[in-house]
Amino acid sequence: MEFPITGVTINPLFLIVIGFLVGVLGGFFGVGGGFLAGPLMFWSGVPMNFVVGTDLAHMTGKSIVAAKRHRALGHVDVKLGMLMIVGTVIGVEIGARIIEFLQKHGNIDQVIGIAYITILLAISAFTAWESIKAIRMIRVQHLDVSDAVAFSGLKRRVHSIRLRPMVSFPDSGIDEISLWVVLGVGMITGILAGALGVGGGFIRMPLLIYFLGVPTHVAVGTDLFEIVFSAAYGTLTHAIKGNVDVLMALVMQTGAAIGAQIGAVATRYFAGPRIRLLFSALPLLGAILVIIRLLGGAMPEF
Amino acid sequence: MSSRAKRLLLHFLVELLLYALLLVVYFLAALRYLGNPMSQLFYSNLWVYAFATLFLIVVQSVFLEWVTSFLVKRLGLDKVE
Repeated sequence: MEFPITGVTINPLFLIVIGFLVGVLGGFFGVGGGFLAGPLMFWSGVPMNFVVGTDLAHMTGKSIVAAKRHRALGHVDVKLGMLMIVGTVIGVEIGARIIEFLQKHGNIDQVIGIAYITILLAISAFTAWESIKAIRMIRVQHLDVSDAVAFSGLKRRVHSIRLRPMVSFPDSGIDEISLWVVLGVGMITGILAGALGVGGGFIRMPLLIYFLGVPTHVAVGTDLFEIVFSAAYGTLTHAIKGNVDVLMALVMQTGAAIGAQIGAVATRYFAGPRIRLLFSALPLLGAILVIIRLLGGAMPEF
Repeated sequence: MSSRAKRLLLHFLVELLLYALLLVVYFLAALRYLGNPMSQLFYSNLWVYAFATLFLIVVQSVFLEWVTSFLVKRLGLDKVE
């Protein structure tokens, strides 16, 4: 079938399957999934400029469905999500300006690529190590809990910062935390996302858990809530530049919306550490895709 | 699997089936009726196209999910939870 806006002929079923896969991942792990959908769309023949914009458009719809479902399950901290958005927006701008500055001073593609791989591998290794430890802890101590974190050092230090104003997040079980810490964590995510050119879901999720002490299920839902706004903003800016094929996005969303529902509901049947253990494979997959690109494979940059 | 889990799974599968059917109908309608107007809009006014795109994406997500929830309620499937 030919899509008149991009002028590309693709089997819509293929797009639905891509959407479905990314939808399940998004609903379950609270990530946008651009690191996976992007390369698949590119391989199917979608021009590079349309890949990023169209991916963001379908991500918006998918995140709305998944975030709504997570909200119904009580997994979204709206107050935390809104505050994080403020920090993230500032961070994305800083990240984009850092890249702009570095680009003027030479070719930084390899540096960014290597930094990206290092961060992804570190997140993957740390999350896998911690979640395995947490699973063992629950088993050995016979804990009857749906979530437990085996590494609370960072959280304790972050919570000990008494820089006013202090805010509370009852939905996340956080009694008191400095507002600046929340904005700072949002900003760190934004800087990394802006500098690396990714949505940042797989950076934000571990930060919410290990820095702020948000329960895993709430971190997934809150991350999706934030993605709704960031992806919607991205969709608008890319569409104005003529980089979005709305028909393609609607077709992809057909699969993504169903996948997102499955992913979101599936979190009910998994304890926090198990979700984190499965999640640890995602940054690893992302790192492998970047390594392939750096080694000269036909991969676009995301 | 406990009987409660079975009921929840059934509820979820029925809801998913309804949702999938609605999405397929919407998908066919979107391609049939939106293809030409959106394509023309893309080449004539990108600002309007951008907002129309976001509107369609949001409407597809919110409205269809709302319709599914309504149908699930009408069929009494929500009571199994």
